[in-house]
Amino acid sequence: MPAAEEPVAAATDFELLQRTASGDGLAFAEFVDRHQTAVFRHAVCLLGRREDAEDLLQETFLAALKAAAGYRGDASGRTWLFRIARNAALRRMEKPQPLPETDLTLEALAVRAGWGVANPESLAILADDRRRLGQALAALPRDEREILLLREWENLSGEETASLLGLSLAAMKSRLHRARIHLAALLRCDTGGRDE
Amino acid sequence: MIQFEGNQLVGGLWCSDILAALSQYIDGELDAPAVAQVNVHLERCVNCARFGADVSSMLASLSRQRPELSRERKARLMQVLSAEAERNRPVT
Repeated sequence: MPAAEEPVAAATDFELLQRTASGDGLAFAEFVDRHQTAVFRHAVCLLGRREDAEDLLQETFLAALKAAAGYRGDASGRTWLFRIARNAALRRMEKPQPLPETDLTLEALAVRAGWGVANPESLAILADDRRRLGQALAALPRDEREILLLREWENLSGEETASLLGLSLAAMKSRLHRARIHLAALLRCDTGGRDE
Repeated sequence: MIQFEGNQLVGGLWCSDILAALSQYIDGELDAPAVAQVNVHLERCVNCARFGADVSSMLASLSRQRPELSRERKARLMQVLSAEAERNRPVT
């Protein structure tokens, strides 16, 4: 029997995309269903705003539909989609948006985050406040927000994250560490989205 | 310049060493001897123990707040993509 008659739920991403390329709409629907939430979250990481992320989500899957025949299975379907989303997001920022600059050392950020402060308010309680967390994430430099959320929301391994971002594993770990402490500093300062 | 003035040498590690290794410690990437050394410091340094636990719990809170797509948004997306897939269907 032709592969197109096999149940889509059991098919690999590679099989789904091959079937998509030959016009199997059900296979593409399964591929979308499988990855849409992860791509959406990655779009939030890249762009910061939910509304922009929803546009990028659609743009990513439209591009994936056109590129389905070219998928070789070298990366997972999810990582392939993340690359498409990332390239589309970077194109949107033709002139890269100015990133929130911070020259603070890791230690200085940690002090702002409560390192060495007696009885500070719990960071978890601060992070549980969605508005505060949203502002702190939006204020992080994009490269730090992206790496942090790839790990904390998508549970990408260190190797997958480094590969997606074109970084060495050591550079990825260093940036992730700074991003975590930076987020803690922003949560504690609650400067309405800016750390001076 | 903001500096941490309570940097102490405890269990063979400075507080600044603990800060530098915190993510690796949280992620379970340190080898056993290094973990043991960090644990000695954490047992005796209230500041580092509290800060490490605080960062870990912040990350747990962050993980719990993964944004989700609404059912309506998923349905709209599928509608747009199905129409596009239909337009792109190869002629047989």
